[in-house]
Amino acid sequence: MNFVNQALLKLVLLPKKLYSSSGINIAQLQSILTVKLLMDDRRPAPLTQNQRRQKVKKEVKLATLTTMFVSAVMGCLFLLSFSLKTTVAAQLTFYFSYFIFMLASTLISDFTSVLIDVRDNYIILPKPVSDRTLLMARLLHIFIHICKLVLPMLLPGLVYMGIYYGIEGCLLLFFFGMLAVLFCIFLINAVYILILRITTPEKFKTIISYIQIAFAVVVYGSFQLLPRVMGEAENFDFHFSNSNWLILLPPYWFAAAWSVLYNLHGTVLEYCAATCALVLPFASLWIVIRFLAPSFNRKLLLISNTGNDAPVISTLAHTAKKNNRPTFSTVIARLFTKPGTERMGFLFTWYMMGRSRDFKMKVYPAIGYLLIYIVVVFFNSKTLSLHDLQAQTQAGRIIVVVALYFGSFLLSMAVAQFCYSEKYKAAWLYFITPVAVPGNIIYGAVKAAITKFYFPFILILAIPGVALIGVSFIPNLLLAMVNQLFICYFTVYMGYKELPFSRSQSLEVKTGSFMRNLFRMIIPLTIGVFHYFIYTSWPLLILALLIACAALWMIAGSVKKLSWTEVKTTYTED
Amino acid sequence: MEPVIHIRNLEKSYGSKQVLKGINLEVYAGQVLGYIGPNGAGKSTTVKILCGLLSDYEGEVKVKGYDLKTDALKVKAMIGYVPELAELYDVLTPFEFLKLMGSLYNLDENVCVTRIERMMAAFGLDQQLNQRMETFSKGMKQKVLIASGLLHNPDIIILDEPLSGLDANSVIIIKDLISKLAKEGKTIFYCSHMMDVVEKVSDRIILINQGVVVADGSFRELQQQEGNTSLEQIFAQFTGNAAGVHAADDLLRAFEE
Repeated sequence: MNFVNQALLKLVLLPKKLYSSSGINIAQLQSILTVKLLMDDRRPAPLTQNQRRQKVKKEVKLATLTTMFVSAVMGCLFLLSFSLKTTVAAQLTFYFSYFIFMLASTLISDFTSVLIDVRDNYIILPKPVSDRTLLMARLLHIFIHICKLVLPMLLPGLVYMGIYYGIEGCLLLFFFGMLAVLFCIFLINAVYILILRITTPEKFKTIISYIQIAFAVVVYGSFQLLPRVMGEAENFDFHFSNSNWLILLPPYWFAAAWSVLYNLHGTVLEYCAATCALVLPFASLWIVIRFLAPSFNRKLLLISNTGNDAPVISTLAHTAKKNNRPTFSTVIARLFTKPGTERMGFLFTWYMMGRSRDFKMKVYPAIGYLLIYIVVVFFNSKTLSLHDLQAQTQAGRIIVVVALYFGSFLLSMAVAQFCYSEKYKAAWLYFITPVAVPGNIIYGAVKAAITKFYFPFILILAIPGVALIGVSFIPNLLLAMVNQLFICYFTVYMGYKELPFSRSQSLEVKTGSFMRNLFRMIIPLTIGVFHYFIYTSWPLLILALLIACAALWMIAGSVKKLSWTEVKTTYTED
Repeated sequence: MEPVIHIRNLEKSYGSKQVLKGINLEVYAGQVLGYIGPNGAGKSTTVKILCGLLSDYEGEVKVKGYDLKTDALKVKAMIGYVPELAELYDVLTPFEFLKLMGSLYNLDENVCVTRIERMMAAFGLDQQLNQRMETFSKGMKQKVLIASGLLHNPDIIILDEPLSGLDANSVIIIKDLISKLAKEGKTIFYCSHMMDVVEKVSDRIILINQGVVVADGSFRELQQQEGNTSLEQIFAQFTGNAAGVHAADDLLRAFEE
């Protein structure tokens, strides 16, 4: 256990007399907490978990310190809000917005993954541990966990306040930071209860992971866009002076309260907000304890219990007809694939891409980042006009080519991920069955990725493209499409010769990834530049299209023929 | 009669650790072979080699005259494998999963769909056919796995602890199924730790210990050799579990002050 956990553990165990007088077994309390903190230390930090390549079987030891460090870095980023040229109340509103947002979204996943552990049911409940001891252990664990997140997150802000507003400012920030934490806990409870109201416990985890994806994208987006917006905002009124709707924003309460108590005067609105800040967190805490917590704990156990036993029999009675009725996926599969292993590879990958939480958690945030990046690019090119697009000026051509080739990244993301799965051990089925040409499965899988992630993108581009630019857009669109399909199959043929969903992400070794990524960037870039030069010439476009089609046909054929000796996937023994 | 499975001097090592030290075995059509041995004896390794999961072994493995090294695909097509509580792509429904398996075995789609529906109905899973397997219990998953091993009507069926997770009714079904399949001339390779079941279902028992075959014969033959005892006791005698006799006493002694 590291020194932080040890210190916090000693701290929470200080009021020993108080604990024992209320019937709590201190020895049990201490050993439960010690083990929980020890396990926290060995759990990979949520922010590093999603990174693509980890070292082989590296033991996680100091996860806590990593998490704290990451929180501190986040805390530094919050300081951006103090660079706004406006009143301190407005700055603090931004500061608290970031703070509440970050804390709430971190805790929302932690509550199921860290703080409520199903294994408690099997390990602790059968032992002679009193309910009070267990409840206290849980509460203290949550307290320590939040401390480890909040303290480093607040630290940069406190230091800043200490320098510019003295010790009073610093203490006030700390006080209202703590109130904001209480408010966050209420928010999370409310969100959980709300989600559970509208959905079943089985879907809960999926919804939580969507929230995490949205959260990752929003964080990335806000850090990408905020500095730019601030650059724009110099001539923008940030004084909030007479906007009554501000009272609806919780971050404003805390900011106003700080300002009122620091300056000892304020507007009516600020006084109201300050009252909210002082009263509502306690009120919400009371609501949590009185009403939400009991059913909350019960429901959390419900969530964690599903999937272990107690199969849920659906009320939808199965009929023989249902199997023969073509579904959307089978219709698409019939359209794009030949029967046999290719179609099966397609369908399998299609289902898995749509349902595997693991896959979605990796690919969807990446897609979100890309979209934000597109927004950033367009934000920077304000000079672009419709005329540029129609007259095919240099600027117009650049924008169109960039847009056309953006899909390539989207596609390569999906193709790079579909060989990975948490359930990689389930890939035994490829090896016991008489699969003669594994390339067929891979070919089908790549087709599924293209159909799911690339064709919609092309459609979205095609409609406004043809509407705005006219018929001349079509050959360019076709060429870009064929080129990108070629790139896609080419990267599969050169790099990812893997059967779908057959590899463990964590066992992946780092070597060659840099070159591979570089390659992945350079190929579309070069082809895009080449495309840019022949953009306006129809004969050259058609010639290039013919060549690209031939190349695509050849490379796709090679992927289809990949044999067992070429495919990299091997049987993973447990 | 030509043996269906023919294993000669089978050796396999993991690094410097030799797991199989020359297994010799001939199995004939219609036989139910009980393959038993203590943990780490090499049971699973033999099974994995036979199914084609592990290909870097020494020695000769032939199935119906085809060498596993050179004609792996032909061998795989004849074998149905039911792994022990294996991982599944559980976001799929049984129907989707079994169709995937069927197409990997090159089954005709219509035949495959009919078989899936019949098998799942026989297992009482027809209501769950289009439900994702995430919510399934161990036993339900095991039933899907058993169906996936039988789907292509293989001549040789390799069962690795097939009863784990199944309730008593399903156990009866599977035991019955095994003897009926054997009567139809299928060869069954039954791998298990549960001695009482092996004793009942198999007509030939192979006991391996530390990578070699230490006993081979029907239960009755083994009983005659070793004196009239249960398979459990025969197992203990052969695997040289002399130390194990005192284990229970030693455990009790742990309480002594």
